[in-house]
Amino acid sequence: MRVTTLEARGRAWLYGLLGRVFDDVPDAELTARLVDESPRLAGLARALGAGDASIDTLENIEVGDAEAMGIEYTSLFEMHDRIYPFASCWTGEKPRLMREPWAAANAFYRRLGLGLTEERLARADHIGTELSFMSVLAGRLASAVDEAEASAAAREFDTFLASHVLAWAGRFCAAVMADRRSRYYSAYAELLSYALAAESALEGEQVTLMSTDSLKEVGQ
Amino acid sequence: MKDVIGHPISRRTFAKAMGALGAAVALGAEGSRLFVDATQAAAADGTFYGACQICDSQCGYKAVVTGDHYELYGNANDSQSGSWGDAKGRLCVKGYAGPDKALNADRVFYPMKRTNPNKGPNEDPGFVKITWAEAFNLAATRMNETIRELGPKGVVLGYRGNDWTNRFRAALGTPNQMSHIDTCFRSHAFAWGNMVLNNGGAGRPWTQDFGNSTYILSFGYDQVGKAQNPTVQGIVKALENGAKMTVFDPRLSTTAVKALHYGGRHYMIKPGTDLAVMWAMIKWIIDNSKWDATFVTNYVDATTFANLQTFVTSGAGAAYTPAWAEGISGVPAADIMAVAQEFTNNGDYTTWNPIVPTHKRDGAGGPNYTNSWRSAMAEVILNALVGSIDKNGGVIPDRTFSLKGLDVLYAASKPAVANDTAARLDHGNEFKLVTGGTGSFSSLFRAIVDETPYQVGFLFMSKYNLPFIAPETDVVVAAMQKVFVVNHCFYADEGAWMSDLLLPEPSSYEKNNFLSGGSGNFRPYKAIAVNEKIWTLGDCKGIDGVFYGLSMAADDIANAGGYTAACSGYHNDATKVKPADYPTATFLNGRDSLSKYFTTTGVQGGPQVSGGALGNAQLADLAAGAPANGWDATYNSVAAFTAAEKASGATGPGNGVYPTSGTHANYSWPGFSTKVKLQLTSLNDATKAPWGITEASGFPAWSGKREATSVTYPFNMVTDREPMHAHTESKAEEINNELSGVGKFQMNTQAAADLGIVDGDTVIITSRAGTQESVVRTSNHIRYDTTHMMHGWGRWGVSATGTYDRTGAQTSRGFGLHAPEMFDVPSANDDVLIPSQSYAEIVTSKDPSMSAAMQDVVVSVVKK
Repeated sequence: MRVTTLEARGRAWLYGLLGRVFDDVPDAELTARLVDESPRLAGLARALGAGDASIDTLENIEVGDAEAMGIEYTSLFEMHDRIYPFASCWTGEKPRLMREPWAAANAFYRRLGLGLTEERLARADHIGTELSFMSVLAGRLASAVDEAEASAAAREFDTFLASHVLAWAGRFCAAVMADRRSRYYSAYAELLSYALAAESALEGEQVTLMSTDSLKEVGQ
Repeated sequence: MKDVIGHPISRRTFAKAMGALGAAVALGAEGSRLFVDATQAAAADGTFYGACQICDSQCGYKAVVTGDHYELYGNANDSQSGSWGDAKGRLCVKGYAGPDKALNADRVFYPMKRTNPNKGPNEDPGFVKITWAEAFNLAATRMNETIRELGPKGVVLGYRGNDWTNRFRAALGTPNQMSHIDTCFRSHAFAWGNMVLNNGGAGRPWTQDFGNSTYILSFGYDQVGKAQNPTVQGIVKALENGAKMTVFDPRLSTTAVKALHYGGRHYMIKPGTDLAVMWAMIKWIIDNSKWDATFVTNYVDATTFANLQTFVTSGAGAAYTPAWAEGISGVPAADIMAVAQEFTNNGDYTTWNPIVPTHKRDGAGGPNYTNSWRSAMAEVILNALVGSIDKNGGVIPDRTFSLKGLDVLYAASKPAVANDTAARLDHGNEFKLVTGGTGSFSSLFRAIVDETPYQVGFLFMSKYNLPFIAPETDVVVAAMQKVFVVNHCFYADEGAWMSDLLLPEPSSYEKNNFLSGGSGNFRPYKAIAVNEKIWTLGDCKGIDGVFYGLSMAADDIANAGGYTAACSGYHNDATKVKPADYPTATFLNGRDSLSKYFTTTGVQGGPQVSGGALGNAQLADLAAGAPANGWDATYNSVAAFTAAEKASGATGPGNGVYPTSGTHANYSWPGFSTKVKLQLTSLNDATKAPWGITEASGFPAWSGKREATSVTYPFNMVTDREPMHAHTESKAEEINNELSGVGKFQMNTQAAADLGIVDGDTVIITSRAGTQESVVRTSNHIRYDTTHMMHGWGRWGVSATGTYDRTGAQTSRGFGLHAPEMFDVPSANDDVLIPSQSYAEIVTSKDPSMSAAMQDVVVSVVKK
């Protein structure tokens, strides 16, 4: 990937914010932030071609939506018939925590000098953790002091994106967008899916994309 | 594989958008908030010693964890997983699959509260994740409201108690602690507790030395079929060494197959008639003087033995002949006599170690039938007559290290409260021959629904998926709708769905603790096993941590005036409650400083206790008493013990269990200072039970089961568990489910054919309690008049209508009380069919053990 500092800064911002969105139920601070950033998020979604419903949700979120978002988050990702937010649950025959994608993500973090606390360790392959790490890598790129450092950071960003996030996050987003329980997170999932679609493209090329329907044939 | 979705978008467009975004925002540290420097990061790798807690056998294991890979080995130094000293180092299938429980993605990992005030199988609860502080505050608030409106007795606590949790109950002042044991083994606790252990019906021995048995006489006992490690390995060892086994079971159980394979016997006995066969054998032994005279002379109460002789020769028991038993049970009289002769080795006990094993839902002894307390007594009589109590190869009363009780080590500071006679919701205080404090799941939920004898408003449950563990699911659901339910739970299961507040429970792989002896030992000598934490998953707390947090929250409210005000009326009430089953402990009478009694210091908000397992003070106490109590004095703290274990290597002193081996001397049990009773005069004591005299003879005279087959309900229904599953706690585990397969309802092939039913059909099963659907398995390995369903099984389709699964495909699963289940294993829930019992019904049945009669069920079956 060859990007400008500004592009990298944009990525760090976007994936950092989406990492927080998908990491946990929203607290007051996050909800206020999403309200503040709503024009920017909606504009980005519009620029990327997201649907009207998602744009409307991103644009009109209110502080008072925090409770409803919390209920939706819990229902979608923590409770009965949940959409598993862990990479390990999307790579084997049956959903299980702490499988190979978890170990690989953790190893990636460590190789780049980072890691997780004991309380956080089991969530190494959580969508919130992986997006946050993408933000970290983009931030390193944005703050690189020379071309060599920038190239190295870009290479790590691409590698992590391709070998970890893109291996499952598209299907995760599709499941969230298709779930009838989902309103808020469907919008953020659509924004994320468009960003990941663009990331996965080679420069100047159109991305070969999968439709929602085609996901059923994947049979993950 | 890249599999993103969306409309095609050019990289350039995206880069442009990111560039514009980057120009507008500052470079923050949003993403890095989750990470620490690698030098400070945690790792899951290592070698861990543990005691498997998938079931209560507590087999020692060694886990080797490397990244996402783990390997589990039986601990060859442990008599449990080491096959009773054979050092084979094995776990059972449930044990090997145990870590899958911890890593199950469908767990409850965080506290959650319900937001939908409507509660029901078809009501999405609308849970929202909250903090522990919020959860404790909510629970304490609702608890206090209940106490203010209904008194302390309006709080019902459901869990397996320990010293600390019992303090919590006593501190609150409610008599209502409930557990599941009436659905499980309390008829055994009644018989063994009153006849042998002299503990007032509080417990029973769990250790059975099968490995040294020479004859195993099994009345419905199918522990081989449940694959419990120590029992399976012990029985197989005995059979391979030439032991013989006779099995009475309406099904060709796994144990029965083993018996036949090794030249033993199996009889498809009529359900609920084991007692008749037992009495015929007892009479044969007495009539032919084939008892173990040495044991009877030395360890059996002489008066009760003499009375037994009289009872079966010239009393009512004289009628209990083999021919009489054949008429009731269908077992040929000649075979009953032949088995009795084999079982007693024709009276020569020189090298003879027979046993009548018991466990839980055995055909005979468990709370399966209304007459099971009688057959449990008869089993004790048989074991006593052949001298198998505390004999190698027999039933061995549990041994433990001499440990000071937690109430001694951490004495509560307030004076004891005088006992009172406050009525329990389940009337358990009226049943004087068992420990009422363990409660009755059979009657609890109906009592809640009917508000009889009084109204309650707050129900705390730990480890129980209530709709699948207690009789009559519809009644359980109605009860959960009626009160505020705090559920300390593991899975997002049906019980969670029906609850108001969820508190996540950790698995044993997420806890550091020590396990010692007692009811969960299964070892023939005293031992302690260490259990080391492997993983941290979510934000879970054990029950002691939950009660500590709840105590602190209650104190916070008290400091604000609310809690004290809520309870002041009760404080001044002369009817203060001190649960009658803790008459000597120094509990408390004030709840305005609840947390005082849940700490090691007696100071409000002091250090948190860890009550369920051994703590440093107890280990130090053990060390101070070394070597008199057999403990190595160097192990005076958890840290010292685990450090020594880690340093010991393959040839060290413990490797996870201490000691690594032990012996048991015949009849060395100190409890023999009170001799074994073959007769309970307390059954003739009108003050021991609400109905008055239970059995004038003091012997468990013949009485049939509660429910007889009829034209309406032509089939008996018995329940059981599958070998690959551990209670309901493993039914979400894919490995176990793959082994289990589909279909949880079994009936005789010819009986099915006569109804136009073939294997694989879906059938409708109906009892007087409810109706259930299931796929049927037909087999000749079950009596014509008997059907079988797995206990605690089934699943509601826990899926809101029209939701999508993780592949994005719309799920076909429906949602409703009797809908197909969650994990693609069609099955049924026997609890739907098992009638609950009102207090009046229990009184009518005259069952001093207050059992749930889980198998005393008759059903009809039709093809759907």
